[in-house]
Amino acid sequence: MSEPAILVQPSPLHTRTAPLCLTNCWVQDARLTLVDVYRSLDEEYWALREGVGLFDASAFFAYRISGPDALAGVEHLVTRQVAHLAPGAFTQTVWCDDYGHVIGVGRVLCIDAETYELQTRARALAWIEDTVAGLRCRVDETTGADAGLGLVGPRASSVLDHLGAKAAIALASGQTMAWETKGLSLRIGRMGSCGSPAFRLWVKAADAPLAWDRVMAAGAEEGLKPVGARARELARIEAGLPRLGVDFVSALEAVPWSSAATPAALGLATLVDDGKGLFVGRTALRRAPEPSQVLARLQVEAEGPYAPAFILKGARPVGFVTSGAWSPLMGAGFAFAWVEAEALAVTQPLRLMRPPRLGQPLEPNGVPCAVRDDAAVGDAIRTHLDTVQSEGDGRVPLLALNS
Amino acid sequence: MVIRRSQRIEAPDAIIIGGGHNGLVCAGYLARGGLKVVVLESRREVGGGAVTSLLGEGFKLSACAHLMTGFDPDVARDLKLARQGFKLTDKGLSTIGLARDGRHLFIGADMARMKRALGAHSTSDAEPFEGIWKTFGRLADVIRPLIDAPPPLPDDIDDHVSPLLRLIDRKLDHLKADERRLFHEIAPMSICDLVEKSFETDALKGLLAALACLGHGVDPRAPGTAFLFLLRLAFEERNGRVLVESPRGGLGALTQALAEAAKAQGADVRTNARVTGIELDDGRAVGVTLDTGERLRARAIISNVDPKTTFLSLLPQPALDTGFRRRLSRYRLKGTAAKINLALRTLPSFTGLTSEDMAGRLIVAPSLAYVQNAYGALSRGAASEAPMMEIVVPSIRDPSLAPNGRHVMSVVAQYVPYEPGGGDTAAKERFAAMVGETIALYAPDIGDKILDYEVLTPADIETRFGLPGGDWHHGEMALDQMLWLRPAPGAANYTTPVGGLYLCGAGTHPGGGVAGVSGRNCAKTVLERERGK
Repeated sequence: MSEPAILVQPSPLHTRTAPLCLTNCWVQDARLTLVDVYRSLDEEYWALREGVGLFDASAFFAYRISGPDALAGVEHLVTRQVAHLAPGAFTQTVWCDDYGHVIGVGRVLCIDAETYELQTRARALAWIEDTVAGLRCRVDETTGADAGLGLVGPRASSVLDHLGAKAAIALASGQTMAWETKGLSLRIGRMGSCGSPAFRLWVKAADAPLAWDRVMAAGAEEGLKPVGARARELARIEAGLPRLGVDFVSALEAVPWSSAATPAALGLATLVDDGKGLFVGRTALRRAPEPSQVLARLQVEAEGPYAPAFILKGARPVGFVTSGAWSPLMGAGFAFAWVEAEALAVTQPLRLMRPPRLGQPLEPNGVPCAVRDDAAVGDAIRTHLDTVQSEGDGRVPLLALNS
Repeated sequence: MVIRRSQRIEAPDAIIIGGGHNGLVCAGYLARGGLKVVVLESRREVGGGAVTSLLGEGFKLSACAHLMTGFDPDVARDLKLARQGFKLTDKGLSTIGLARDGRHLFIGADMARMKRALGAHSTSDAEPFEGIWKTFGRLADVIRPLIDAPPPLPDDIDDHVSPLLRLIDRKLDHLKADERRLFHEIAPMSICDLVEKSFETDALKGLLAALACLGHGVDPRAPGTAFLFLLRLAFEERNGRVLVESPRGGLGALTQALAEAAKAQGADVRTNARVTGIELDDGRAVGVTLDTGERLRARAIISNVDPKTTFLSLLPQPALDTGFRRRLSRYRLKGTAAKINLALRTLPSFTGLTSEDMAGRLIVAPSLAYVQNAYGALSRGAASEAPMMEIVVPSIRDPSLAPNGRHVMSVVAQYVPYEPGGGDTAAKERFAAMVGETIALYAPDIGDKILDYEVLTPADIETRFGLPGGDWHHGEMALDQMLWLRPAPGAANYTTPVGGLYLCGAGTHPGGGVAGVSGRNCAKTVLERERGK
């Protein structure tokens, strides 16, 4: 598929999402314009956490690697082991440059033994092509061929049930299945990244509006709400998932160079399978010293905004916030911040210097913050979900990146 | 020389892929250092581009490379080459810039002669030449330590130039203020600009431009060519000794002696042993596979093959980090010189030269415009109409090369595309005729003397000597492919990103030329890393 001439385009779901968007708040993501907030951030957030929400998940770039050496090529490209993926299974991964610095984040879907698809929110064609050069496989960009619909919330399974896709409810995280209904051919996958039960529906771009209509109709009884990008962003921050382009930059774009980060510095060391065989950056990662700066997940005992802000230790700035949000569910603020590793090691409390707000007194000492306890946050979100889930959807692992 | 069978080593410590002169130097040093070494040469004889071949009945000459340029005398001593019967024909060769009217220029030991020769062209150059030449010599002194040692490596990407600058800085202290300024100017300069700025005699400008560009596929107007000139000076003179030399028996005698010296130290030098691949175990080089299917394992695999072939063909893919692979795939490797070998009935007479003079290195580059035009043709994809040349007649000093009274002449002619006329024989012959006509401008009787000849285009050089692109430097020597950038960052100090894999060929610092420095430096690196493991 040739590169689109227009750099920012309407999503294949635009005809469905636009009329529902009462705020006219839009964002750009991976070449598409997406609804930021449909009606109310609050309503959309709680749909994800207590009801069920549908969002436009079409904003991704897709690259298909196929041929006898496709597996070898993908294994060489990404840090995560791919060989064990059965057709239909996918895994979250990162990929690194020669220095072991993260270039991209995405998921690798095994289509068959000789075909893999990489989905990511940043362009990666040149890097993939150069990485698999010399191998018997080809790389095709399939960006835009498929649209994505995200179905998230404690009642997501019920919506699938109404839709008639019962089999999909039983999917394990990281699994997908093909499913057809009345002239519509879908691939349904079970995600596991932001706390709530989450499914993804991929469909040919041309069929996307029809799929949206069907899902919305199936979800009417469950109170299915369209959810915008801002609520998803909130859920992401709660779940502690750093975002490329917001919390860190691709190593290929890092200026200064020292702002490039290893998976360990991003808290994504679990996405690296060191023992799987050679991959780009492995040599460097094995030699890499402990990172001097890490992307810390902080909990802040005060309301936002949190960015831009410095992190202080005593009077000394030791870090800066990249993104953050108040979590209505947890009743606490969460923020990502680049912090000197040494500053985190010592017990002296950290303070966050919030940007001055009109009409509010200055805070010369900032507000207290601390590295958050991911396990406790995860437990709290799960407990909350358990209480709102009528059908007992089972425990959903937070930070389920190890799918 | 007695050619010994080498003793067979079944479980080597180190395998050297390719028995070119650098591979053999490396083998000699490694064996001397106590490692069990196997050299695997694909062709029938060792030597790569440094071989002596037959040309017709009774004539032999250095078929590809025809001079040792900057071969470190320490290497000959360390490896005891004299014991293998290795002998130079002469002390260093002088360099003569040919002029059609006989007003030749002489670069070498005899400064008084050069002054007289220049005086015949211009009084304004004759006087200051000695001073300027000495300045060039001192600038070459500044960079000479760089060619002997492994290149200074940037500690990391932020600190790219400082190690080199520190090293150079100490040397710079010995320069005069204006020389120091010139040094800083010279690196990014073109040789055209440097000679235009320094002299007014066109013949001298042409000669020096040729010295910068000979053997390199570069435009004399290109930035960095002045540095190539300094590099040649640094290579070709050491402690006042001119290191432009020719061994008795041609360059093949050098590589044969190197092979024998390595064998004498216990190395196993095998010919007709073509390596088809390097074996990896979890990303580390552990052995090689031969075309016979034979497999040989060792803890150090050393490639004397050019870097592009080594990394992109010999290694199973995928084996490299993407950034490194990208740099390697853009590594420029192309020969732009043809080699013409001639068998001569008797010695031709070059106007105004004695036979003593003719034993030197004769350069055909009578003006700066001549050199520029020679390149101009290449930039249009054609062979030069009036090629720049380096001519030697080694049989003057070494009668063993030709039957009694007869001679051999060896010519490097520049510039030619990879395959002139797309591989058409007629185009090749036309180029050969052009070379003959050009030589006849300086030695009018050459036409009657030719008994036999052969023309080797870069394509022929590739096939015959296993030098991809016909590039005997294993990669263009431009500033972006030299020092810590040769062949690429991450592989510039003879080690590579692939554990256990080393490079010892001309595609490493300090680059091409029959100098043996890469082989020696690589051996030192391997010994430091592998000894006592």
